[in-house]
Amino acid sequence: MTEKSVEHSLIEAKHFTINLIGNPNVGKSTLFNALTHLRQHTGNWAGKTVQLTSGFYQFGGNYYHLVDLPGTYSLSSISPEEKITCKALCQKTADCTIVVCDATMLERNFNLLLQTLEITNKVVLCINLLDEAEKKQITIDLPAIANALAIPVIGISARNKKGLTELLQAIESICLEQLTPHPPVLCYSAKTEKNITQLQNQLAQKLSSAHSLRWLALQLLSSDKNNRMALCQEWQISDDSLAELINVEQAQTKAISEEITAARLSRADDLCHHSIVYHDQQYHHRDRQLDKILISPLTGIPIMLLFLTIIFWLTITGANYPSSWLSCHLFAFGDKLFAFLINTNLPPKISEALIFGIYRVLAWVVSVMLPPMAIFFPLFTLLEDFGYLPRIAFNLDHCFHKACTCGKQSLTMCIDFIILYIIKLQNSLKFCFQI
Amino acid sequence: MTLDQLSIDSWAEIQTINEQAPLKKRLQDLGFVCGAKVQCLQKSFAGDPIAYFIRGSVIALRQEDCRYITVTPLTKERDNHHD
Ligand SMILES: Nc1nc2c(ncn2[C@@H]2O[C@H](COP(=O)(O)OP(=O)(O)O)[C@@H](O)[C@H]2O)c(=O)[nH]1
Repeated sequence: MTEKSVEHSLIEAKHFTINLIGNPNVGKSTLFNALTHLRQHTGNWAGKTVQLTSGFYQFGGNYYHLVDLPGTYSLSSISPEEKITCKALCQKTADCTIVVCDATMLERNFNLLLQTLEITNKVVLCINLLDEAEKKQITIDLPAIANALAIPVIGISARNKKGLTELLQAIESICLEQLTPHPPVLCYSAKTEKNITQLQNQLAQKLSSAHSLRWLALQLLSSDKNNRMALCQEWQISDDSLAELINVEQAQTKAISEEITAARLSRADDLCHHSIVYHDQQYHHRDRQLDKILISPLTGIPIMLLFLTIIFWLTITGANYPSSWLSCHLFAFGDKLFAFLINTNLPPKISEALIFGIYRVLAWVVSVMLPPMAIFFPLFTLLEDFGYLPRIAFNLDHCFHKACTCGKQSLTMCIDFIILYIIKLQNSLKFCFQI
Repeated sequence: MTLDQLSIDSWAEIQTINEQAPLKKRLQDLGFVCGAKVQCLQKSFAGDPIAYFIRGSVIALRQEDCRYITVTPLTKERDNHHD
């Protein structure tokens, strides 16, 4: 590109902000990394990305700022992750929101999608793990979903980087306002709708129109006193004005909350019913049979111990071979380096310090630490991909619950164990080499 | 009866979720609402937590959370999970 055309494209280039949301574990981080070419670590646990990660990518001459919001099942509850995600969406600062769904669990995932559509219309639905769905012989009628919701629906497989171009194009067309989705509004009972409209009109006088007033009205109507206070603080509505805003009673609040949740779930069921075909009814059955073995009270724990023993054994014994190979070569190289340094004009004291002090320690650390890590972490990732980690958590939850934590903790412990082992190794090495 | 008393492999329909349930909103968002059908899949070692099948996916709940959910068992075996 000539200098002139670079300058030209910089002037023309627009900057857009994109929100990335989805249930936990739908491949959101994987997609984020694929789009931004970053290598943020991906993991299996909900709430892993509590602080926001963001990155840039370029497409069609424009710049996109991608914000990876915390994974949540819903926007209406009150966990910290949900608050962050909800707030980011409600402020409507993004030009487009990508909702990532797991193709094999759309029934569960659509709840978040429908809630998002109640906040903003600039949504691209991104159905990930299509390869996984294909394996399970699930066919998803993407055009049917797109039709029903009037938003772009793109099927991708983030890990294999399939469908990303189509996704980027859909985002572009929304950002450039070539396409303005008009998703159908999810309607509730006449009585609730009346309450919503009333509250919405009142809120319009207090808040700038940039906010999603219908959503806020829904939230206020369906939350209890404490949550209402929290919402008011967040949206800077004074308590006094709220008292006059809301004239529904506590008992009614519960009914409204239940009605809203039920309406969303039944809409999600509807969508799935018309767009998903399960060709292999037995697949689910086989999955369950496998679970009967992996998480049953009788065999679950022995199998888990077996798996972990194999992994630790491979890590501890297996690492010896590459370790000794590495140290052998690194030390041989150190000797050569020493011989070389002695021949130069460097004072011998300095060469000794360099080789025996710095180089050897580094060589030890590398040859001891690298092999166990290079064996353990890929194996652990394999278990994660196989979906075994949640099952370990299930097996162990009771024991850990007694200790006032949860089963997820067991996995952190596995990693801790390996790190402890590596530290111990280092100490024993110190002894061997007598430093 | 409450959800934790549902025997393995049997289906039930959810009647109510107690107001006091700490996870009420989350449970509702995951599909635990009145009228929803749920199957008990597996109890863990020591009987807690318990895995349930609801709305096309598997969820594990602790016994203490299940006690807030009342259900009526369905007698008919549902072979077709996705109808
Ligand atoms: N088979 C398959 N697995 C995927 C795909 N995308 C992500 N995954 C896996 O799904 C798991 C969860 O992904 P992650 O990005 O951590 O999900 P997040 O919790 O939503 O950020 C990881 O083990 C990924 O390797 C995909 O397209 N196909």
